[in-house]
Amino acid sequence: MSWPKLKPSKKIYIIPTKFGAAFAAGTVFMLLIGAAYQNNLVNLLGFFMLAIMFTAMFATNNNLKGVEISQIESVHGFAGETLPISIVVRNRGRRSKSNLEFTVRGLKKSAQYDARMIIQPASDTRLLATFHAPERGRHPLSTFVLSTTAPFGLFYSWQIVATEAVATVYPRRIGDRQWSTDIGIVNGEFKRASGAEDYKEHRNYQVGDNLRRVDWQAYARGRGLMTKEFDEPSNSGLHFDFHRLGDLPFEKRLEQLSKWVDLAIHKGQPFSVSLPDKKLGPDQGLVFAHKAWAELANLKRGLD
Amino acid sequence: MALQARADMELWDRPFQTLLLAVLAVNIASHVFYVPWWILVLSVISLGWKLGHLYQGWVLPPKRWLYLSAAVVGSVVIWEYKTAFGHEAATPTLVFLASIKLLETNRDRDAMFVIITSYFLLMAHLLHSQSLTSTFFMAFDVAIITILMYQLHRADRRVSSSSLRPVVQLLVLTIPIWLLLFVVFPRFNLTMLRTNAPVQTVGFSEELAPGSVASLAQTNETAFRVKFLSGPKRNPELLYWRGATLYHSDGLHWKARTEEEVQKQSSELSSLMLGKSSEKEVQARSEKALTYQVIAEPSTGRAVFTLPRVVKFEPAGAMLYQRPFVTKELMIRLSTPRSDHMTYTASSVLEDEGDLETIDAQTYRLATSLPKNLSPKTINLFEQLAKQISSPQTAVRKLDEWFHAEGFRYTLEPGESQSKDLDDFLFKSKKGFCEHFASASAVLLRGMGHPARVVVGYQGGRINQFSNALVVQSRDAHAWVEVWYPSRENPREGRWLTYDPTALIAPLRLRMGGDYFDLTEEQQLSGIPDGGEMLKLQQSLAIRAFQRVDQLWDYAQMSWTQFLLNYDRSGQQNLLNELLKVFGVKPSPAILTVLLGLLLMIMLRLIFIWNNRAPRESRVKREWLALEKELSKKGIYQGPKDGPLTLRSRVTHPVVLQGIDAFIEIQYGKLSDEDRPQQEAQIKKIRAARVALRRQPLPT
Repeated sequence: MSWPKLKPSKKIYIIPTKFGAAFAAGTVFMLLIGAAYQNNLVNLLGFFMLAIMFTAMFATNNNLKGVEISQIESVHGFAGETLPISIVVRNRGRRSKSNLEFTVRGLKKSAQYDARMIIQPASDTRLLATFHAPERGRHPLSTFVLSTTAPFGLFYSWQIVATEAVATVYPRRIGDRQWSTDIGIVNGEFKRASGAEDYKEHRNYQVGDNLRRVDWQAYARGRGLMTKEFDEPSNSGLHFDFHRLGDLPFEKRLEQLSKWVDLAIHKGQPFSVSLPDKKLGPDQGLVFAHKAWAELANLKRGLD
Repeated sequence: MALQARADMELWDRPFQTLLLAVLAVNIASHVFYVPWWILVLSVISLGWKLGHLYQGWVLPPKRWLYLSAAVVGSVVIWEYKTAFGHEAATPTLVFLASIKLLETNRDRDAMFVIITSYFLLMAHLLHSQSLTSTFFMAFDVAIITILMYQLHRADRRVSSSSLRPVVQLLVLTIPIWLLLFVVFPRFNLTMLRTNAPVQTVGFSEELAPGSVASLAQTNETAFRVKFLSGPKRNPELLYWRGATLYHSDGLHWKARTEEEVQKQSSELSSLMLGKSSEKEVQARSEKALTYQVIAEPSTGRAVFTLPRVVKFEPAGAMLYQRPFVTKELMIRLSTPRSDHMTYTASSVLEDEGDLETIDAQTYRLATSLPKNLSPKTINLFEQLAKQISSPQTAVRKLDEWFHAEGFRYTLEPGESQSKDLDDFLFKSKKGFCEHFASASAVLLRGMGHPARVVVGYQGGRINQFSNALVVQSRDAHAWVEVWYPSRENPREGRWLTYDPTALIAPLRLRMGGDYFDLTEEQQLSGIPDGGEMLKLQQSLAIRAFQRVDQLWDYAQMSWTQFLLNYDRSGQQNLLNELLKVFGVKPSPAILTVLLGLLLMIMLRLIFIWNNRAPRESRVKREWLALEKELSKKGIYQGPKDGPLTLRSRVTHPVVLQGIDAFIEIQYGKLSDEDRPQQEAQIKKIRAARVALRRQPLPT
């Protein structure tokens, strides 16, 4: 498995936060009062605030120095729900770092988890954040922004990391069609896919393949990961057909299919999906479900 | 570890909220003497409520109550102070708002509001006091506010010595920048932005009523300190520091002329030196004058304390902007009231010489007018006293004799018998404080036909043995009389001379100043001239030691205040000139700020780079890299692809082999970090391998 490529930028940017701006305004006000009342102790206080801003500026910048995103995973989620994204951050510096956050350009953040985690020197830490998932489709996550406001919250410092990561957003899991009436089930009840299928051929393993179908004996013989393919038995389980939902608009059809896949997973039933350009399954399990959802996410309009 | 969303973390835990409350409580407490009592009560209730909420689960008040109370309190403050501007009116409102903010606080932004408010509360405190104590308080307060600010953004909000180390390091880094900015940052004069609200605190009173001076004399607050710069040495008991002259009287109550009247007949400071004298006379007078620098503690009002017959006056620091002027009585007065420190240098000619003063018709009338409600008994008294008396000298002597003969007594605590009117004092109680004697004497002198006025100010004080400065306290507050001594040639020309009736009634009071009040009543009554010595003998060693510490502290206070007050634009330029004299440059503070700012930024950058440098390679790794380098010279090591096993297969030297084996043992063997002695032995083997290789001749 290969991780998406990263192109970290060495530049670190810094601006005052809202609190920092208020603090700076307070400092200026204090120095004005010191000058108006010719009061040197007020001046001393104003200069302290100015000095702490100087130190904070360097300290905030320093909190990002030697820190890099070492790993970003491609992610998936459902439209209208949250999209969890995790990254691995490496601290190459001598000092521990804290209060690191990240955002992804083009995605609206909903929550940052463990933002205040302390990252020890020469160690990796995983940071997790959730975002509002955009509409269905494949969205490149081209720019990650790693940021911090530590130690005083006066400055916001950030660095940009360009990536080739992708977010696959599945269709929403909504729809009110009942599968017992709307999809064809032979003999009125579900038949489990048994091991009676006919072996067809071997093919190279792909991410998302059912691990039960991996030929472990072949793997043990050093032939690498191979997946066994079988001739599809007819009427071997739930069958979700895109064309049978022809009375619904295109996106609604995908959403209905997405929901049925979800229901099938929850009920632990095998299923197959017929799309305009391909047929998936029958199979079962989460890996297969994600494969199906990914196909639904990537389905281009016009193929109906 | 369970993940925790940031949004949840923003809801604070109890220890953090307690820290927040403590920081705010400290800052509110620093205003205990400067804000109305009811504001303090309301603030204490708010803080108590919050504490109850934290530890007893009390329900917090609805937000609309808080908004309503803020509006009501703000309105009352504006009504009481007659303005919404100026720090005097803003401070009580800020104190109250800060305390109720805690009742709705539970988010990070609220904590930031509390942090910024705490800085402003500290600033408001510093506007009231520039003492050394306030400076120490400021240092402590900025440290705890900064720690709070750091804790707010820290992963683990628990406070421990290790958690505080980073913020302490940052504070230490901040100190040199802070001090440098203070020293070189250019000072501006923006006094036009200043707003003066009517001041609420009690200061030196320019009215005299029975008990008004006595109440001041019962406190130990320092009023001002005096450094004598040149001129004849004088015993403190002979120094009368004039604050205000009072003309209008109804017996024991005296009032000054109205401010409009005073300012109408004022003159510029420069008029002091000139008068009608020639330049030569001015020069001669200046040489005889006693020159002194006064550093006055914060007080209210316009009075400026000087010795009689001021011939020169130089204001410094903020006082420059309060536009001091000379009154008709040759006193110095401020155009705008003050509420903070002031410092000035003045010269006074104490001897009775120099130009004669003139008395105009209006002043003559004022200084001879009698109270309207005088009783026939009093009128009869001064008529009796005035018989066969023509000069003020004899009038004063006669008055002294009468006080003595009638058995008048000086006391600070006249108790219930305190006289509220002149008749009662003169004919019944015959007990009183200096204001009673001064008031009665002035009325009687006027009745005897001699212009007289009451002067309020200070008399006495103690010399600080460390600073050699005279420390004048509130307990040295005093009232005396000035009598007009006309010249023989022209009755409109003459001098106002001091007559102090207390000198006869209680000579010890004058000799000991405010310390007189430490004597027992018996000692006061005995009137023995060595009362001061007696008091000293009675003092235990512990008290003397305490006094030494007290004087040392006072010395530090004075030096610090003097530095702060004098370090204005010119003070800054003088210091910079002095510091950079060796380089032969006269630096401008603005250019110096920019240069030093750049230097500081580079320094900080280097400090952080150094701080953040990559971790040092372990000793094992370093030794191995050195060995690899040596192997590379011999052509054995050919690049990163060559691991230790490959290298081992290429060498035959037993010591080198041992060295490579030692590295394999440490790096890949079971040697743990705890096996230090063994590790050391293996590291030595790697080093020995390098040395052995170096000694081998290079392959041809």
